[in-house]
Amino acid sequence: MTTVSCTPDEAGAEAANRPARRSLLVLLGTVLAVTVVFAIGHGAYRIPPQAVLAILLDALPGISFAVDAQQSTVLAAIRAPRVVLAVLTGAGLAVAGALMQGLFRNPLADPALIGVSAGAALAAACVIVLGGLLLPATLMAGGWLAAVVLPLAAFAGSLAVTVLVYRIGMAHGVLSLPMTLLAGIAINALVGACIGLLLFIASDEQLRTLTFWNLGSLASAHWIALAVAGPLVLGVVLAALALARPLNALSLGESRAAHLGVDVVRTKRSAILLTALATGVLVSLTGVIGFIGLVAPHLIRLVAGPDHRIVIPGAALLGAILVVLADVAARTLVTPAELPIGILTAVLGAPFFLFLLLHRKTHGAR
Amino acid sequence: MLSCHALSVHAGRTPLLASVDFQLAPGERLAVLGENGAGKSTLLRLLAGESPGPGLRSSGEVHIAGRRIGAWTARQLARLRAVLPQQTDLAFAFNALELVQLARYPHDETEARSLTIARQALRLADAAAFEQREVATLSGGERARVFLAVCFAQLWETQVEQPRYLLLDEPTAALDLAHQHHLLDTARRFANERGLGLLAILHDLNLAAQYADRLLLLRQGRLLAQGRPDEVLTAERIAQGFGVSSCILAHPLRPGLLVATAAPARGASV
Repeated sequence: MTTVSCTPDEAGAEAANRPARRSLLVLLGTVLAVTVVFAIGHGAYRIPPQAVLAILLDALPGISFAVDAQQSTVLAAIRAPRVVLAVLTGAGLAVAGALMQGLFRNPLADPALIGVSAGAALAAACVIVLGGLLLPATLMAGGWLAAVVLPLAAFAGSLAVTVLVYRIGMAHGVLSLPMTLLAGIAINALVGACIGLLLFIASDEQLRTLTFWNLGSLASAHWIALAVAGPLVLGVVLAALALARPLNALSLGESRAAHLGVDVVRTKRSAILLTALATGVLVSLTGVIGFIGLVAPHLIRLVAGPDHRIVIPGAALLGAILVVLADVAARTLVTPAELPIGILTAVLGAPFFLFLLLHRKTHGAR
Repeated sequence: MLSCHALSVHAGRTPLLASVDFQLAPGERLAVLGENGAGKSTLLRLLAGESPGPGLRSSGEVHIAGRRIGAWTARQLARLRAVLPQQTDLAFAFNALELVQLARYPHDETEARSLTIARQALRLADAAAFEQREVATLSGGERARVFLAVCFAQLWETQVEQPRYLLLDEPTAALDLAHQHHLLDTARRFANERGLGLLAILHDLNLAAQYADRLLLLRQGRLLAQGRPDEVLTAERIAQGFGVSSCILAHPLRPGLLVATAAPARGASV
């Protein structure tokens, strides 16, 4: 056995373990920028990419470009808020997924798993079907309902579910993850039954709203909602980055992570709260859009390894790209009508999920 | 000093540990012996600063570096002691190098430094050859070396204020003969170079006699004996502790003693 060098030669440290990490983030960021410009220009009313860039640059202080007034209006009032919401949705859901997977120590976990999305959807469905009986008529009128009442109800629903699941999962000051998972399954089943009942008693018009809510849509995007959701989702992404190293250690198991100096209880609590916050805010704006939280982190892990310091930012960028593209497809495939975006993400995401399950079966758990 | 005083753990009224007292000095090597269920792992968990477990209550005190173990933060404690658990399942497909780098979590340092230390720890544990391999694809012996490297990386510093401790929970359980010796020998060298107190739960009495300065024999949660190997490993104690008959010989190949054991002793239930 050779003697141990006591002062590691830092200058001689070789290249990082998985060298392509930083370039992967740069690549994803570039692709996202291109995708955003493409998505803003694409739709029933087309704006050429150079015009999009001119309008965007023109909006910056101190720079002015010749822009078409009509294009500029469409961009500012319709396209831009929608694409911004798509970016926030993709990034927020992907990061929520990565957090859940790290928390549950399982690459197949998803925010929908512990019932957070379902809780939000149930609260919204309750308002749509029963709101007429319980709430003042002014609140159930079009503008108020879509802009204020539904988002608040969905947010309250997701928070309530998170608190409930967390309470059930906590025992003796320790969060038991199997209990949390099982509670999530039970809540999902209960919510499914309740939504089924609501569908049964809903009127035709209510049914349409419910369907839209359950399958997701970015059509409700407007700047006021984004002013609230934007900072919240960005805050969640940044806070999630701070959890990356503790989550890495947590993949060794809770007691091992504690041996390494991780405050396990705090890490788990933060991950749950951040997931609920991102999911609640986003479901309230877009309805349930599935599988982004599963697919985006998984693809990053395949390419760059399981280190959360790359998985979290990488998944945020990739999730944003995926949702922006899915939304372009949703609003252009059947123009002038619009497909619910949740259908698209499910059609692509569910086979991916099944493929992962089969892969695990044949190649062992990863 | 890592010490415990009147340490007891109860599951309801059943004692898992009953008033255990002992000390582990820096630079000392201690092996904990005892049959299954004697309380060895419970003891190690408390020494590591963990809670005894759901439904269990503990009394007594554990001190490390002059303070009650609960008075340290998790991060401070992680710089004072490392634990090699019996088995670890890894949730994601980390490779060996990434895994060992995780052990640098409690140290504030650059990425380059943690990578350098992780590489050196792997080399020291004789695991450098498979640093890029996914941990799940390694053999039992390879994995044991990688997890030992994790402990090494955690306690890598040589200039520290406080004495530190390395706790190994049945480190040789899944290893063949050569690997058992290799692992204990590597751990011993590492502990010697850094003046660590080393505590290992072992089942093989001869390994314990060879590698430890002092032995601790537990039976039904009580400390049956502690002392030098030749004091603890007597035919009578072994019959009490394990219910097997034995003969203590001088080791033919090296200084020290050799324990030969045979079928359970009749009437050994003392």
